[in-house]
Amino acid sequence: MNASDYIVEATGLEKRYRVHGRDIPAVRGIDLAVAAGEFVVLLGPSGAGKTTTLNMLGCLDKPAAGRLTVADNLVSGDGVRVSEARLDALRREHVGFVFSDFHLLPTLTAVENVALPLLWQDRRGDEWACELMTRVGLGHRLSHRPNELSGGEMQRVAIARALVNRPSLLLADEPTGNLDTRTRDEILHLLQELNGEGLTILLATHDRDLTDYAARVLHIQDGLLKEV
Amino acid sequence: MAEPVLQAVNLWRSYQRGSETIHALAGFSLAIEPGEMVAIVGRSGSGKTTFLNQVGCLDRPTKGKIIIGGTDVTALPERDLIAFRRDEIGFIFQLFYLLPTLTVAENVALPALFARRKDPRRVKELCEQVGLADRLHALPGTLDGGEMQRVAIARALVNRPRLLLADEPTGRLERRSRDVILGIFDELKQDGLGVIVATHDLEQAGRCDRQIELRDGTLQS
Repeated sequence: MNASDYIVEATGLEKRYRVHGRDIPAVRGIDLAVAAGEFVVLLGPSGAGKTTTLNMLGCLDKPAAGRLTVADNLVSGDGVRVSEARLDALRREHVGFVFSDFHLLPTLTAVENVALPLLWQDRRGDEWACELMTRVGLGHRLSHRPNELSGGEMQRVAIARALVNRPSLLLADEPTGNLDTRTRDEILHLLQELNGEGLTILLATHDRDLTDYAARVLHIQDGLLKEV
Repeated sequence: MAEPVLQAVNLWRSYQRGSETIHALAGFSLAIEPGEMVAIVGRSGSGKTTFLNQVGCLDRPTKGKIIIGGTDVTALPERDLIAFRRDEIGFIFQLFYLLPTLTVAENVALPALFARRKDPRRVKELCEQVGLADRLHALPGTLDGGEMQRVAIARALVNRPRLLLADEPTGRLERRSRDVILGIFDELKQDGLGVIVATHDLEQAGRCDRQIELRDGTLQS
């Protein structure tokens, strides 16, 4: 496989946090590569380093050490120090995020929430936002505000928003953490369909049931990937 | 005399629960002058949030009239109401509602972008006003709760609203952060906008010009 077939490639990725004057290692040297079109689940207990890993891969946080490329762009390593502005641009261009808290703005309608990332780029894209709302099964809920939607519907809106920039990679951090099991399964079916349409997904969770949906499962514990 | 920022007249908001009709607001009236800060106090379920949602044009009253800066918003069609809400009303919530993938400056700028305005100088000024001039490029995940609420305050002010609505703005903050937020609210009074704060925080209520107590959707006298 060529290097460019990988959406993210990380080698020896490390991250430490300073807590009360002590360095606490959160991620302790992980090697990880996700190829275009893959659906990978990163499985591990709370505190294992899942969110830290996702945040680094998604350019929300800088690695302390290691080499990282995202969509063929060098983010870290080889003595390169990427600026905050460059990280912001890479994140906007290549990565979509979904969280367990949906992070929808309560004063905006569902479709406005979806279109939000485009605004920042001087693009309106209302039609594309409506199309995505239809794609996630909410074509009839365009003008509803978040407090008029169920948890599953809110997460669908958040997924549509994550896709609005046509990202190379969707990072989902416990996307079903606030949902009941039936809604959880519906959201995973949707992600599976989107993956079938070519979207690359890396999903972090502690919920073992979600591994049924992924083609590949990586186990993480104490900041290290484990072979199983 | 200056025109009131807000005139809410005989507001009712009623819901049907089975065969029973619940009145979340039951004939509540309130007027606010420019530069006036009013605290709405009352227990959970007394109608505080319902009231904020009505005057914030997030929900429509069953009966009554809301006039903001001379505009009868109860008569506006939905499309105009969305634009009015965006341009004239700032919102602050207990849970901040920042987007974790956007920087501080980007979060603050969002309502302006929705109004098709780009004003980086205004964004910078507001971040300075709330004491975050050195955090413009920080992501919300690196901020503490008080700093996140300061970003939310700056965002609420970016479109120069007439009316600022805050729903339990100090509810999730520890003491030191809360004191900073209360100081920022004190300064807001000088900007001439009308402010309504729904709060359980007695100190914040005490620092407002007036306190109104809601009980069962109506004014407690």
